[in-house]
This record gives sequence, structure tokens and C-alpha cells, in this order.
Amino acid sequence: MIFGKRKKTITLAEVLRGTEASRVQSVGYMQVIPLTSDLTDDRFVSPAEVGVGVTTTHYGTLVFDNSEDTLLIVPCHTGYVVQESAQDHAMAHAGLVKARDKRAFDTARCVQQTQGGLIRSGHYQMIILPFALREQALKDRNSKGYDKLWGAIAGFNREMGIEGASHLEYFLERFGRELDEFVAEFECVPHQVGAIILIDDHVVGIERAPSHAYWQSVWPALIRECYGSLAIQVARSKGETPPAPPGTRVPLPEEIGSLDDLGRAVEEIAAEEESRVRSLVRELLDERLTLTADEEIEGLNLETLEPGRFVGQVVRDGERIVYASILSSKRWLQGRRWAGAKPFTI
Amino acid sequence: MQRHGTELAPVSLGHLTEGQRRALPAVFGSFLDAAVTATARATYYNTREEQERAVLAAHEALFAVDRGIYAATLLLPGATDYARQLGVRRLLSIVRDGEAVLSLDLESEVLRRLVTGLPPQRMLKLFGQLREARVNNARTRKLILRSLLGGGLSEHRAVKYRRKLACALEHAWGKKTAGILRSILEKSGAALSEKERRIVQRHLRRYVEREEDRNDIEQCVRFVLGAERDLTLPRLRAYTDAKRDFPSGHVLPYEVLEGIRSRYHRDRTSAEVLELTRKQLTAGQRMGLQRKAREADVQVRLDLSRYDAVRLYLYAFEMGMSSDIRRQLAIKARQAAERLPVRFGRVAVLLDGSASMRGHETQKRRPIAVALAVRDLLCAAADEAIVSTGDGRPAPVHGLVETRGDTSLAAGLVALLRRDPEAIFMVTDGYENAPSRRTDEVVHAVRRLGISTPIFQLSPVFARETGAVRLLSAEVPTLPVSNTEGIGIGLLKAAFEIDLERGVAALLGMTLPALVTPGSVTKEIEADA
Repeated sequence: MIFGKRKKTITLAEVLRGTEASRVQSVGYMQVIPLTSDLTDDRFVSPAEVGVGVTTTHYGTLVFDNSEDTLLIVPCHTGYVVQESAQDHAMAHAGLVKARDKRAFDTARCVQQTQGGLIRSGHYQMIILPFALREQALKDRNSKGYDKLWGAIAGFNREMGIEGASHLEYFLERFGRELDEFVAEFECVPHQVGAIILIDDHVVGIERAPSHAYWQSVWPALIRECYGSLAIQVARSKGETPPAPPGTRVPLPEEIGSLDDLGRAVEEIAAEEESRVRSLVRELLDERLTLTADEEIEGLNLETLEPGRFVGQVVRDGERIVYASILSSKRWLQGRRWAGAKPFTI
Repeated sequence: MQRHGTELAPVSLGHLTEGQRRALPAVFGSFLDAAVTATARATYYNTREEQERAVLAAHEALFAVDRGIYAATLLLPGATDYARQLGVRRLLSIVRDGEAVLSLDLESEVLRRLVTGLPPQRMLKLFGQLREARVNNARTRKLILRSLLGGGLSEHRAVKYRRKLACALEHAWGKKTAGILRSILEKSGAALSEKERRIVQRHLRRYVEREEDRNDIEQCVRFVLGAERDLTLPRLRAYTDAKRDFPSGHVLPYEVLEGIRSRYHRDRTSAEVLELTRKQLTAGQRMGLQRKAREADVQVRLDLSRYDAVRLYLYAFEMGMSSDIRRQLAIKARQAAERLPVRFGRVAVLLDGSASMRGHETQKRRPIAVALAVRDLLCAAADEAIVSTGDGRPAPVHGLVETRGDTSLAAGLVALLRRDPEAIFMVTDGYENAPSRRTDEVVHAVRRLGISTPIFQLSPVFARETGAVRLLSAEVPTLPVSNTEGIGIGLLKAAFEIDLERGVAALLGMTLPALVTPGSVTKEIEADA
């Protein structure tokens, strides 16, 4: 790590330090490399814990009431889509709340344009904003304005074939069944504290949590609303039914002479697929990420990546990364699409 | 695959064409799904009409292949009343044409069992449907009269279903005969002429199975047909008396007295009806309380034998496995295996112990508990069992398996195939991710190699995150299982895939064990022909 006064430079490998890559899980366009670690840090809770209450006190203000004895890390872009007649809200960034403390974040965003009312204090199921909204949310993270995400939500909904006002729940309702399936498709492995997520052969996200328990509590929201929504988006844009297998998949050879050959082939192609996926990640490990400090609480630093190949936030304890949510930038993904476009012929 | 315990009765399917034989396993499987799961209601995904069309298509397809197999399948435990109603209507309204696995007499016996097995309100609804559809052949008439007069007509039912019973009897006898019978039954026994006695004997008494019930049933018939004079049975008298004297209706069912109140005693309240018939209600409530008390007793002093294998596994996951639980699980598995229609020689079980088998929070660990109960049952139903996990490692043939990690079944499948089992059962939720579809590729490769070992997927019922059973491969028959009782039905599907004749024999052995003795089906078929 290179430390400056306000900015630091770090490599992706350093973000992942202390973790190991497990066997790749691959379904449709999405692939997940589970990251496991024995360096579990149980000093933190997530908003999924029962002892964490949530409310909105004004439009654009999300309040977290942490009655637990440990510090709360609110994952980047945590949101709440509630059943009651109250305006759904989401965070524009990550947040830190001290143990047995209450903290209001007045930079939260409304994700339900025409619904009035405040969320009553209580424990609700959390979501993480869809991938397509997260970069925009992070960009304006320091400014107030509950309506600042409406334009992005409207655009996202339109792309997904949903008309109407900027309501995130329209998308969640329309694609609820597909999103539910992502939760069942990808499974947590023992000691898992993070994941590298690939869609259509591109690394689109790197997530790291302080402990296995924390990871288990936030993973359903990450895979469902955040990355699941991106997988649906990609599937819609490609229009393939069923999805074509990603380039890293190796088909079983047609010509197999015996069960012994088949057994060997299954092992060999599994190893080859693993190798292909890992090589996609390997080439990113030296990617340099510039971090800007947003705040410091009890020795923990919440920092934001300067937009480049990736965007996102990390929570750092000295040199140790305890939390990270890093996404491929929209610009880079579009560039990849451009690079992958067919050459002009006439 | 063989019948458990005794040898199966041989079954001849020589009357089926080659095309019908080929189609039968799939048609039977599809019908089984419809018969076990379908109701006359809309589902989350389908309207009532769509649901009905699909169900009817499944009925029609199996009926077209063999009406005997169709009829016997409806007798399987777990077939819905709706399926049975549809089946009885079809069997009664379409005349037998050509050969079938069941003789006419056996089919009539199946019909009688199907009808008398229905709850009274559904039985009467079915008779109403037959009336509406104008199905009134001799077989139908006989079936209605045997079902009602042979034990289906008590004074309780007479007051509760009076109008529907009258419709059913009039449909069976015809209005004219029903009117004549009513007039005759209104007379005292001694005053009957010889001709009248013969009429009563021919239309009524010959269907009454027990002589001692004769007078009561005749009185109930008289009441049902509208004659209310000189009734002696307490409930029938109460019915007529309550019109004048409200409290005398205390022996009537709540809804019957409520009907009388609303017409003859409008000054009385429904609360009074409830109070008056409280004794009647309390009988049901007492049963409920007993059940509750039993549950409470179990909590205090746990009687493991009262729980099914799935519940025992859930309990073991929660509290830890003990030798008592293990012993009970072994007993349950053995008992369930004895009830199975088939027995295996060498069976292989591929157990998915991945994280998703833990299930949704609302049904925590239920999928793995079901999977383990299924494993135990398969092991108990086989002379030799090989159990392995998805990646090919041997797994315990009993006891707990903790759910963890990703799902990769392909390597385990190949490893089991190498050991040449009679059949392989993959017990999995069908969510495969390391990577997805690999099992499908392997199954195709195996078939290309010319290996025909039957492979089945048994899927534990899942919570809301799945919504439906997920197929690992379209080439692998998938059998949904939610408990060990349902496995028998699932295994029947498997039996049809492995050996058609033995599958049908297993079906008949399961549904008509007392009637179908070794050789009897063939003889019946020969006699029929």
C-alpha cells in the first residue's frame, strides 16, 4: 500500500489478501468464485442482524439503530423495500455505526418515486441496489437529495421493459422469481467471506466481508438484487434462450470410449474451466485502486475507489481490509463490449 | 427390481401395441403427477381452466393406453379426491372396448372402492356430476345403490345430506321407482303385499349388506325421499320435531339445525344453535384436544416412535443424533421399505449434501432431512446399497450428513456407474452449480456409451425459493418426494421405466393386494378375452 495524506493506492491483490479462491460455481451467464478465509473478524455485524433496527425519519434519511455490542458495517447500497405504505429507501454508500449507537444517513435515496410515508422503526429484510444503479448512487454519495436516483431507476426499469414511475419494487416484483433462483443457484461454502463475480466472462464484482457470519447475512442480497439483476439484464440484452455457455466453459467431448474415460474427462474439463476462470481474475490482481478517505470511526476507515476500471468502497483497519464492495465500472464494461464487437465487414 | 416379500403376480401386457408400451412409462408418470398433485383449483401459475385442461389430458392419455392401469392408479394412496372423481366419471361413462389389465369385475371393485373411499360430500357431488352428465347405465346405477345402501347411508348423513341423497337415489332408481318405493316404505311392514315386498327386495334390500341395518336404512331412505311420518330413529325424529320444538334439535349437526332455525325459528339466534349443538361440536373438539395433548406429551416425554423419519432427522439435526433416534430411524426405514411396491438388488444413492439442501429459513433442513430419510429407505429396500456424495466420496449409509458447499454431482454419478448398480437414485434439489448442466452432459455421454442403467432424480419438496422441482437432466425421470410415504409412488414410476410388466404388477400389488393374487390377473385377462 502506498499511503498519501488523503489518498492511498492499493492493488486488487491486497484487497483479497488472506483469502483463498474456492471451486468456481457456474450457472448460465454467471460465475462465482467463493473466497474463503480462516482470518475471520467477528468484531462487526451487518444490518441483517436482529439487533439492528432501521427507520426513515425524513425523505432521504435512513437511520440505523445498532443495539448490538459490536460495530455495524452497513454494506454499500443497502436498501429497504417494505410492505407497508412507506417510501422505500437505499443508502448511497456504505456506513459505519458504533456499537449501541444510532446513526442517521441523510444522503439516502428514495427508490419509490410516488409513494409517500416514512418507514417505521423495525427490522426489515435488506437488499443491495441493483448493479446498474450502484455506480450512479456512489457518484453522488456526498450530496443530499432523496430524488437523485430516480432518473437511473427509470432508465433501468425501461431497459428491463418496465414502464411507469421510478419504482425499484416494480423490477423486483416483475423478476422476483428469477431473482429468487439466484439465491438457490449459488451456494455458500464453508469459511466463505467473499466472492468474485463474473458475468459473461467479465469480472463484474469483488465482495469481501469481515467474517463468514457477516458474509452469510449479506450474500443473499448481493446475489439476488445486485448481481442477479445484472445477469437478467445481460440475458435480456443478448436475447439468448437458454443462455449460451460462457467462453470459460468446456463442453464434454462427444467421443468417449468408456466410463473410465468419462470419469477422466469430467475431471480434466473441470480443471480446465477452473483454470480459465482463474486466469481472468489473475490478470486483474495488479490493478491499482486509488482510495479516497470518506470517514474514520474507531480506527476504521471508510474509503471510496476513484472511478477507473473499478468503482466501490472498502473499510480498512490499518492495513487490513475488513470489508470491500468493488464493481466494474460502467464505462469499462461498455468498453469491453466495444472491444468484443464484430469488426466491420461489407 | 422385485416385489418386496412375496413374488409379484405375473401381468400380461400382450394386448398393448409397441407404441403403447413405449409411451406407457411417460404417460403413467405424467398421470401420476396429475393424480397426486392436481386439484380443481387455480395455482399460482395456472388458471383453474388451464389446470383442468392439463389434468384431463393426463387422464385421457393413460386411459387410452389401458383403463385397468388407469383405474388401479387412482387407488394409490395420495391420489386426490378430485382425480378419483374424474376417474370414476370417465370409467363409468366410457364403455369397455378391448382388453385391459383388469377384468370387468375387478374394475367394478376398483370403482366401488374409489367411490366409497371418498368423503360423503364428495361422493354425493360425484353422483350429482354423473346425473348432470346423464351417465345412467346399469353399472352406474348399481354403483350408486351399493355405495349408499351398502353402508353409506346413516341417519346422520340422511339429515345432513338429505337433498343430495334424494337426487342420487332418484338418479339410480328413476323418479317413478323412487316414488313407488317411497309409497311402499310409508306403509308398515306387515301391510305390504307380496308384489310390494318384491319391489323393495329388488330395488333396495339386496344392496343392504347387513341384515341388522335393513330397517334403519329403509327408514333413512323414506326420510330422504320426503316421507316424515312415524319416524323412530332419533336424528330423523329430531329433524321433524325441531321444526316445532327447537330444543329437540340438539342431536342434529350444527348446520342442519341452523337451517331449521333460519326457516322455522327466526326469533332464535345462531348462537343458540351453537350452544344447543355444542355437544355435537365438542366431539370434534375433543379429538383436536387429544391430539394437542398428545403433542404436549411428546414434548415432555418424547416418544420417538410417533414421529416419521423426516421429523426424526429434523430433531436429530436440532438436538444431536442419539442411539435411540438411530434405532427408531432404522425401524422406520425397514417398515417403510416393507410397504414399498418394489425391492432392489444392488442400488446406488447419490446424495446431494450441498448448502442449498439446507432449504429455506421457513423449512430449515427439511430437504436434507427428507433426503436422508429417502436414503435410509432405499438402503433398507435393497440387498446391497452404495451411497456416495456428489463428488464421488463414499457417504454414510445412515446418520446425519451436514449440508455444505457447492453442488457437483457429475463425478459422483460416473463413480457410481462404474460399480454397476441396478439403478441409481440421485437425491438432490436439482440445483447444480459446479458447474450447471454437467450432470446432463454426463447422462448423455453415458447413454451414448450404450449404458442403460436407470438413473432417477428424487427431489425433496422445496420452500418458496424454488417453486418447483428442478430437473438435472431431461433424460432423467424426476420423482418429487416430500416424505417416505410418497416414495412408494415415486418408485412405481421408476418401476415402470425399468420393467413395464413388473411395474404394472407392482402397481396392482400396491392397490389391489387382496384381489390380485399370483396368476389371477392373467387368468382374469384370459377369461375376459
